[in-house]
Amino acid sequence: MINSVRNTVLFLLNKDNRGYIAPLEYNYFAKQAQLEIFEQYFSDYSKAVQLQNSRKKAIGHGDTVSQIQNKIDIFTVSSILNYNDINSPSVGGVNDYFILPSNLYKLINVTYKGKIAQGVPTSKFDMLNSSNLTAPSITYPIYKRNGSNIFVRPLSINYTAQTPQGTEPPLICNYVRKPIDPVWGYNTINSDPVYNSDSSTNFEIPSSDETSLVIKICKLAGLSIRENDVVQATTAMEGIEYQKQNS
Amino acid sequence: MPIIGQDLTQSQYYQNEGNTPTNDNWGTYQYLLLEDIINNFLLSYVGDDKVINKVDRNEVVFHAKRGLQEIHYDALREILGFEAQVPETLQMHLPHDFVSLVKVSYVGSDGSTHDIVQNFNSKITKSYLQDNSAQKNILLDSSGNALTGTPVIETNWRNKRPDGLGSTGKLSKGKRFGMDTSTANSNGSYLIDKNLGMILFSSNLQEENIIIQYVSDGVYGLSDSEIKVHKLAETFMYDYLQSTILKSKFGVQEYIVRRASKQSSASLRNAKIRLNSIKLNELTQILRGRDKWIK
Repeated sequence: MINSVRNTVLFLLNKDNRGYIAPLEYNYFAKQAQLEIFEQYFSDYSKAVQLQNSRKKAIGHGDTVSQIQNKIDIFTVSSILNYNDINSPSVGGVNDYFILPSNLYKLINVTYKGKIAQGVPTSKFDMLNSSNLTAPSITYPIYKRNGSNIFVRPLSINYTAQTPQGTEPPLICNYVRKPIDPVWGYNTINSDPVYNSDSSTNFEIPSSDETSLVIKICKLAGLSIRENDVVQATTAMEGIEYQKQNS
Repeated sequence: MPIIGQDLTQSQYYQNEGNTPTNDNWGTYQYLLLEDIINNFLLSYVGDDKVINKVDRNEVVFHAKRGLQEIHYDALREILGFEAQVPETLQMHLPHDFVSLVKVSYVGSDGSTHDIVQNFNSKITKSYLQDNSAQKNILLDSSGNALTGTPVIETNWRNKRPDGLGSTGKLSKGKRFGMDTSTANSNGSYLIDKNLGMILFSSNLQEENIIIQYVSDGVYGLSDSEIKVHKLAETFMYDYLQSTILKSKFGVQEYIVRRASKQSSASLRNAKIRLNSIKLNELTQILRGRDKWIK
């Protein structure tokens, strides 16, 4: 898809010799456009749910909630969390924490032995720990998040310092990762860049979003080459696309 | 630990696959785990297209445990028994998971139980030690706290006649028609102080094996993965959870709250009826005892 998008973009931009973008520029614009569309999924999902609950969405082919869910699910992955023992070897200390993956975009859940740990705000964390009926246990573990670290309770959920992630079953995190940056790879033949699929990284968002990608890249390129017509046209097209999806 | 909420093989059920205790899984099919109820509730009652769109799990756990306690007091009435021998002091502590007393009895030589009646004419009290001065001042320890001792009631209680009669003498001759018949039986009597957590038995029960039947709340001493609920109370648990969560949620229309509340009450009634398990033949058998002619 990355090559077809580039060809379309170049075709649109080169019309009447308005401009040309280099492969490096295109890669930056492609990354930015993909990120914008990816981030849009989450707000679109929220709106779609609202419309569905007010019975303004059709089921089957019109079920945008499922469609967006499927798009997001492409980026859903699982990962074993690394444990940081602060005062080694005193495993299970109150300051010990697990480290979230670096490519995390949105945390779905954290599980321990198949049991979902509940994420709680810091303000409730200590309160829950001292509660008689709802104190965290192996069956109902909890965690609080502090940036990319999570503090899990009960403290028996830990890894021994000597054999990291060896003796205890791991704490697993299910999350939505960030999309991988797209790269339009090429070989230079007769001073012209020619597409090379082996050194390329394709877009990760589905092909149904190709139109949005083209519009967004054109808009960014239009800004770059200071072509007001392109910016205006793509902004208008974006508006139409948005209306179509949300009506 | 018994396996609850899962399909067991015949070998697992009858003999625990040779593991001890071999009777661990007997009767487990009538229960399901509270943990499963909570998971089912979060899956089926909470979501974008449900009345409860979002709820923290700790809230569900809290209400589930509270609901379980309520149904234990109200409908389940899973009566537990505590058997022990009455010591020389005639004092017996209450069971560790005691919530409410049902009945106290002693075991007869034939294995049948004999009900012991509660004595309402006395009370276990806190007795403060006093000095010998004319004012009878209360004695204090070095920290300024009052010193306590054995109440006179306890001492006198041990010397009380088990048949409920007081001391006989010339003055009481012919005056027995005022006797308290509710405590005048040979089975003895007991005093209970729930606050101090003890029962005081009458002296004729010394070294008898007594049975304290009581109700607990179903959550004591069990880990979160061991708390179980009777299947006949499962619907009540879901309805109770929905009702209590909706009550505490902001912005839910009153008619939805009321509907859930009514549903919860109806489920409780149903659970009570189901768990009471009144069978016609049992009822007939009991009523037969009333057809005796007293000559």
